[in-house]
Amino acid sequence: MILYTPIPPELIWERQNQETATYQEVQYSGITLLVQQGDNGSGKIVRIISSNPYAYLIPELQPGREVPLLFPQ
Amino acid sequence: MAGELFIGVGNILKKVINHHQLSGKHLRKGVSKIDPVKEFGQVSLPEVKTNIHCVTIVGQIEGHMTLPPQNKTTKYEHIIPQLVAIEQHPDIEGVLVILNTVGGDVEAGLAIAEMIVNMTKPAVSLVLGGGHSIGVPIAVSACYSFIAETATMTIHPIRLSGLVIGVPQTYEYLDKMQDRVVRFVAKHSRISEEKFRELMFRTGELARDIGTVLVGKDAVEVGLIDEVGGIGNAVHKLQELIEEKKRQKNSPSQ
Repeated sequence: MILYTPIPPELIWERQNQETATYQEVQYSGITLLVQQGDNGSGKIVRIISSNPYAYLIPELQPGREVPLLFPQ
Repeated sequence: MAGELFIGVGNILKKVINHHQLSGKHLRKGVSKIDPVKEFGQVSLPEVKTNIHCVTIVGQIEGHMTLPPQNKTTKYEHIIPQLVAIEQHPDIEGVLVILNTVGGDVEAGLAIAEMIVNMTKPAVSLVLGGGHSIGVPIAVSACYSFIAETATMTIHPIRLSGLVIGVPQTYEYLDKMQDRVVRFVAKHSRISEEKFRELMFRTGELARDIGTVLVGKDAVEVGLIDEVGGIGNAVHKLQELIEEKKRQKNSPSQ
């Protein structure tokens, strides 16, 4: 793989071997969200992944809001 | 006295609770969309329709390898399906590509750029902040491109990061990679291959590297970007292109 970027490689690969990724992709009503896993089955929205500009206006899906990761049966 | 006051407060509380129960019923009927998220993980999209969709490309463009978590990345597997959906959806008439990227994977960047070039729906790109390295082909891939007055674009040679085998083949491979980028940019903007290469190998402009930084109108002057502007100009231009497309469709004889 070739990276074409002015950022020096040592900065990009700095923390390569550290496991810090606790993010998870979840779907809410067809919108993909990047969620940081928290305690008791909930998660905090980190990022919305959608090309629909109005998906970013939904108050329930604002980054920082908690969403359940485990759904009731 | 104190007892009466307590009862008074109690009544108010009861009223508040009743009110909440009432609004709770409303929630279940779908008047407010806050509770359904907590309860079922479902929300309904707002009714407002948009005929343009927006693809934002931020941070590093991530391709074949997942980058360490301190990097903010735009993943190729997120962008490509979005572009496919935009191309297919009957209600979406155009796409706005907003760039603030430091570059990244060559193949992922070129893949996104090729997708945008070949879309049948009009695309307008806007470089905000930065559109460096592999961000350049993505910016020029749109039908019309804008750059903010303060935004910058860095043009520099591609080089190998990580393990380098010091054989002539390695350098030939890199050269080929670079040619792909140069040709793509020259084909889809007003800049010539020679001029782009000249900017790429210019010395004395970058502290750590050879190459050039183009700020706002510099990018327009060399022919890389079509116009200096912001979100207003970009949306206006996109609507114009959509109208033009509709007119062409209505009069196919011309």
